[in-house]
Amino acid sequence: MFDIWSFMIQTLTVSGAAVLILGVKALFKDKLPPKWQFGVWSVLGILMLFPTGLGGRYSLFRWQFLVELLKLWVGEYSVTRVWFPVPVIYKLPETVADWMFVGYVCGVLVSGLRYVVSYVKLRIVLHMGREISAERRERFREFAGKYEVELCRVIEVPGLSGAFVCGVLRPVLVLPEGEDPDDKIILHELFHLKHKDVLWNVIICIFRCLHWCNPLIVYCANRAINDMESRCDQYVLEQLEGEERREYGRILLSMANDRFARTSGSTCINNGGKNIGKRIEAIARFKKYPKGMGLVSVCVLILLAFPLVMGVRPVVASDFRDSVRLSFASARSTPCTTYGGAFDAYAKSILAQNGYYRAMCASEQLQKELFQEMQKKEGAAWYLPFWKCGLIVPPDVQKGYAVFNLTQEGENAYEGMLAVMLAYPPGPPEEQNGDEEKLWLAVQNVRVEKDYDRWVALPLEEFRYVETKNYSFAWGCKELPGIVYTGEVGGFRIENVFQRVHVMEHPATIQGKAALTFDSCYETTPKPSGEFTEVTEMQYVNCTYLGDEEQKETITRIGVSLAPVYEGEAPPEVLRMPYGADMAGSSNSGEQWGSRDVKPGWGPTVELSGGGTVVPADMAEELPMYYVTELYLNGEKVAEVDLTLQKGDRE
Amino acid sequence: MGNEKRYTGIGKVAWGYLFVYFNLKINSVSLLPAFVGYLLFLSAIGDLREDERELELLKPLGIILAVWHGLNWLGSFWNAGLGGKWQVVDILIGMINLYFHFQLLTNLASVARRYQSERQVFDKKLLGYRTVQTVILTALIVIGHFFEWIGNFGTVVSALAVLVYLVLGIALMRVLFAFRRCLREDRQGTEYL
Repeated sequence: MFDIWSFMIQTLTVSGAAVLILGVKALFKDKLPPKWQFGVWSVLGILMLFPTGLGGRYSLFRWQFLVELLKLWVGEYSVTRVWFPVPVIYKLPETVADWMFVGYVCGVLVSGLRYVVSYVKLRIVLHMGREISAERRERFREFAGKYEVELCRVIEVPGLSGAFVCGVLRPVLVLPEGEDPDDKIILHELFHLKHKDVLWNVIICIFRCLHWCNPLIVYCANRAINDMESRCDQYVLEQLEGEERREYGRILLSMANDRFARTSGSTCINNGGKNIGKRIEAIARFKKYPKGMGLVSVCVLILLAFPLVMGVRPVVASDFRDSVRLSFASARSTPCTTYGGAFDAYAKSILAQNGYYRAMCASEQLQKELFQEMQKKEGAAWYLPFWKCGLIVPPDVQKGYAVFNLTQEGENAYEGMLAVMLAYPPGPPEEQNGDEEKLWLAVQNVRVEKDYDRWVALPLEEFRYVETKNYSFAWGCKELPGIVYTGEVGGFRIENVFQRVHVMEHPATIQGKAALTFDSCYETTPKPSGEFTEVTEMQYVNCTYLGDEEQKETITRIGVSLAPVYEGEAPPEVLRMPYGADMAGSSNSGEQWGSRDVKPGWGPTVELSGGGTVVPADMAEELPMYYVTELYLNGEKVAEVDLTLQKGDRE
Repeated sequence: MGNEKRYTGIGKVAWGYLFVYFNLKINSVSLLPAFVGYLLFLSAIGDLREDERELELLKPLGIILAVWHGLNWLGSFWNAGLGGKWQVVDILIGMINLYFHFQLLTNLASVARRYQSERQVFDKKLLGYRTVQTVILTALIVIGHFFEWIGNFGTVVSALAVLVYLVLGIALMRVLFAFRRCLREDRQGTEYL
């Protein structure tokens, strides 16, 4: 935790879990054994050690939303992250929030110091103690052996009212001098020794220090210690019969000395007068639990621990209509957790022209500017959540979007060309000439990169506008660039333009307003954890003649056949032969072949073949290393060449 | 306590499991709604409470489960199930469900131990099924949390677990009906005497 905000997220998340655990404990109070009642606190302990909000996840409630809201109130736009469950000051305080964090860290140190002082005091008292007699020790050893406990060092100390165990590494059983405590008390302490409760006590004290300003967590820490005592009571009671059990209760009641009741690094049977009452109640409820109770106890614990620790991914940011602050806080607390999610949120912020969607995938630097832009419109609710995305005409929402030529750039970045259809041409009305065949795309190269645990979208350029004849992105778009593989042979430059189109979803068919009618509707709500579902791979081959005119006149038919070669694979030995006039073919494995008859005066560029396939996104292979290609002129194979990737062509 | 009540109680539990384990649906509406099963369990608890005082502890949990499944069933008419909407509720229902069946079968095994003949082992069978049921229910929920990482593998494992779960349901009902039959024979024997 590097700032007060990350502490707030951590402590609020833990508090939510604490409320649930208290509820569950109340529900199973008389149903599950004290061992479980203590063990269930381990879930809270794990949650405290686990940095919350990693990968945008949250437990039970989106506490990030509250924290982001608070941050917007105080004009703080940084992204809140919990990296480490322990507070660390790494810079000099500058803002009020920084000073609050310093105050919190001081509180942690003071509470820690309080426990250390209390422990040192106890050790000083123990220093006055002396070893018990060998005869007495032997008696204790035999007694401990009966319950399979290895006896530690035992000392007597003057002025104590009860027995306890002290020390984690070298535990000592401490007895009041001149008294012979009841066997039941000794047994209770031996069970503490057996179950390493001193260590648990220290861990609980550390958690109490870390969340010292959260009364709920302090209360839970006290409850945990009380449950630890109740668990040992249960172990003792299981060894006792009838009257002895009542006697044990009476011994507990008689103990009201709190002197070392909650000293870190020790266990003491009298854990405070108030708590003894609750333990007596537990003793009154005592029963022997049936065999197999351990199994259901563990299973119930697993069912509680898994969802709390793993959390859930935020699904959607809420739009609070008139309140920019609430909507923006919701968007900021719904980060994109996949690169597909970031592309989706960015594309939909363009399609829906929604500034909140943009906040989901905006970099930290852009957050302030975006919030201020949105806030300017707060007085005009009808104008929300509009933001200026850079398009000069609105997009055709129902056509959706596609990402062309998506490539991975390094470990944590992807780049691709975002394309959306426009609702009408971008030029002035007089230039449109009522030509309804004309369709226009807006395209923009976008980089999506990982910013710690969230993905952000960074447009690399202004929108460009491209005229097209495509009505959809289903089979690529020839007017847009592709990834080009090229090679020269036999007086020709052969180009294979390879286009990959990533799509997350298509318009869904939904029930129409009238009965038994259906509409097609594109879902514009971003999917922050979405993945691209399918990839259309489209390619076409062009041959451009580079030789002299004399030889050109001798060519009547041009043909090519090519096949991709991937890294680590050997090129195919035989390629398909293009035969006949004006034919073309392709296969799912990326092979292409085509042939065309040319008339005098042709060229210089001839389109030879084309084809495509749709594959699930997770099945899309890496780009081919190169294409092995054969050139045919006038029906005869004349040359072979490898088409290699032409760098930088995507731009 | 009369054998009559015991006989009726065990029968209700057996039929209750039919509603809880099997889920025949028309569209999203179940023809064997689980809440009916829980109502039968609650009624059976009333019948068997003199045999097993501990069963009374299950009543509040049974009511919660009956209400939850009842609301879910009603919601299914409008395609609006309640599952998966609130994480807190899902966690609580999962835990209550697990404990409820564990304790119910433990108590039924205890009843069986007292009323079965020496040669019969209804109690051991019930305890065995109880253990398997507890493990499967837990595994199914845990696998659900890992679905986004394990994908198709999770689907296969879940499908297998569901299959075992259904077989377990049939086996459980079979034992309960057999135990009830044994009680009936005992009842008829008493009448003849």
